[in-house]
Amino acid sequence: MTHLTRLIAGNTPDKDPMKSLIETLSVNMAELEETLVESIRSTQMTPQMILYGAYTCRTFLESAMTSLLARIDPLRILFLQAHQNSTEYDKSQRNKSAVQWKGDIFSKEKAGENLWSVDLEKNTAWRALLGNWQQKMILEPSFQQLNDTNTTISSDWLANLKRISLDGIGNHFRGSADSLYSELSKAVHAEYVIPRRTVVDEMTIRDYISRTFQITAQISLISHFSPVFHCCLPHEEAFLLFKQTEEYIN
Amino acid sequence: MAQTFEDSQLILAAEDCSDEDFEKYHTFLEYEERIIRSLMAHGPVLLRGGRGNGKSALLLEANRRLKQDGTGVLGIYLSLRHLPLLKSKGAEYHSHFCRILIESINNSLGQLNISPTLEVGTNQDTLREHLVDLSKRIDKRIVLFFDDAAHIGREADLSEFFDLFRTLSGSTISCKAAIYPGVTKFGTRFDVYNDATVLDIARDERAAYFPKFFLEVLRARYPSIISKLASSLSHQPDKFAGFLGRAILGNMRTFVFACNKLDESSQVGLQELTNGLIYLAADYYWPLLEELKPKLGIYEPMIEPSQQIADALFVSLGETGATSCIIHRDIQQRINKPLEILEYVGFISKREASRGMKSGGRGARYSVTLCNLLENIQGKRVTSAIYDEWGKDEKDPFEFHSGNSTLNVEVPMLDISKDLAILSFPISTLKKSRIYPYGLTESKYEELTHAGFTTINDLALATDIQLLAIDGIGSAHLKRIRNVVAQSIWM
Repeated sequence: MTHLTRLIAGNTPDKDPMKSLIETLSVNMAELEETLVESIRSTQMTPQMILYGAYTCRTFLESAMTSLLARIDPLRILFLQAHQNSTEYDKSQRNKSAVQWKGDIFSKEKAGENLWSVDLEKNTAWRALLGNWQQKMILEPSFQQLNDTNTTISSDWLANLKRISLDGIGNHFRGSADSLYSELSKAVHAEYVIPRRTVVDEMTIRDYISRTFQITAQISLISHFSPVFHCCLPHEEAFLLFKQTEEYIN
Repeated sequence: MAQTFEDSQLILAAEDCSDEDFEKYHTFLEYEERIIRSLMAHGPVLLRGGRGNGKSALLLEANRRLKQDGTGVLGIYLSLRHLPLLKSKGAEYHSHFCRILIESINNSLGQLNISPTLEVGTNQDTLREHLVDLSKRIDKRIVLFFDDAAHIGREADLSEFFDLFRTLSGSTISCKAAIYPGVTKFGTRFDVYNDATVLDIARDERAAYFPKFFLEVLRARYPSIISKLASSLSHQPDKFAGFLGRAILGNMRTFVFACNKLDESSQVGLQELTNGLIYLAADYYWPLLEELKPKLGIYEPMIEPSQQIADALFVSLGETGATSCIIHRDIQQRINKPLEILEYVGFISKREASRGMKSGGRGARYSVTLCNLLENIQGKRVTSAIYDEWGKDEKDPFEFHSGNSTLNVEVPMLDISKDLAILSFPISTLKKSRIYPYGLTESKYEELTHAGFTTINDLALATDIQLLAIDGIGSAHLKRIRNVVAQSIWM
């Protein structure tokens, strides 16, 4: 398995259904990771990669977030998997069971809203991976745990992460992941009514890959310091995979 | 010594170098290459780093590379070291900003023989449309590099600048701006995490590349120092480079000062290293606080508490030999501005925002300069034990826990009517000196005085036409005057 994929997916469980779920997600991610690593390490990108780079990055970003969601909320993804395997699943129409960027990854509620209002039970926003509730209950305590753990690994990405305050970490991930997703989407959909080569050039694709890897690696690293996430890796292995991912970019 | 003086060009800020000198004096290694790539790519970026960390050099290098054929990108570098921008707000700021930006764009277009240029007088509402049109016309995306957007003494937040940054960024236009870590107010329209990618430039001593990086700098710029290393140090030049880089917290400009000093010796051993660090503590770091004072405006009264905090901090660390400290968040919040000033000057550098303390609670961890630490240890000497220990940086951080009163200094109220004192200083302040090695010569000082310029404010507000009209002042002198005035206000 490739380094970043393993960092995101964690230890594969012994038993189904989680075993097959994590394996499936890992296979999909690993294929994309290999393509992206090959591209960023090449001296000159192929025209195909310049054309499809944003698409590949976006698909990887979505797969990574889905995998992290599976590790923290397995029922959500097992439910999706079961639905997709059922005869009721219709590929030709939008299925409400699909993982939604706004809803499953980001909560629709704005930051700063009262987390514990009496209306909380009316919605399920608290389940969103990078939502305000998960930030308070899972992300911040795990990040605190990471900050207090010594490692022999030397990493710029880790040093940058440690300069972020505890209460700023949620906004950091929400802002950087959302703006990256938005930029990648613009390059994927025919949204730019301008010559494509003007904005989606090799320099920009390299930057997209670098940012995609950095954000997914940082969130994944923190996940292994949480008692709530499943499939966690030993800390030193997580640090090592994180460092190896960073080295792809250099 | 003559050699040192010649090489003192290196102490100039990157933006003050000629194109030729820029290429000659700058080398970019893996760590910088990564940042340069992001600066050249499409998308908004804020480049955050302390004074003298090399932000301008990175912006300039990215712009220089974009000028090469076949990139399909038009890069425009703009230094925002303009006094009217520093003193204005709202519509007035927008107006000055648009004027300066259009002049800079038109200048670049002129060099590339592209016409027509942008209409002078274009305001912020239509500037973006003009830029989009220009991008279509030349079939290139545009990258705008904004340098020195922030000033530590500016009392107002930079909401106007970040509004413009956000407004101008678009499908074919990207904005990149250099800011320092103290910039935390971005206005209501700008979401720092969503509207830009923030890249931190902070050479961390724990990074694996750190000794290698400074060794490369030594090899490229000061090979004589390597050849002069005493036998006790010469077998591990990377360790020496790493120690020196660590001593000045990875700050490039300070590293150059340190090297200039060491290069004066015929041999470089632990004694010369000791002398170099003590020299920097006494003749560089402490005077920098004094130099900063008149540039702080309403924050000028914060200099005294900053000095007191630095004193207390180094005494405490000196007693234990720790090279970093954790300051409990309650203390940190109370003395936030003095800490920001100390970080700006280079006494300390924040490495971790929140770390658990053995004594309870959490706080930020700061690495400290070894120069001032050395002043406060017994014997004030870099022994081989200290050389090993400090180089490894493995000692537990000193903890200023919530009950510790060492950093309990009084933080004064601010006088919001106070302007930057430096502006009222006479132009004689800018004469060639240790602080201004490329300052005014006696003859230029006399010519300017004769022409009626008395204060730095007069010079900062003078137009190019006014200055060029003075007998004896040509375009080369104009650039030098502009540089020294900018240095006096912006450091």
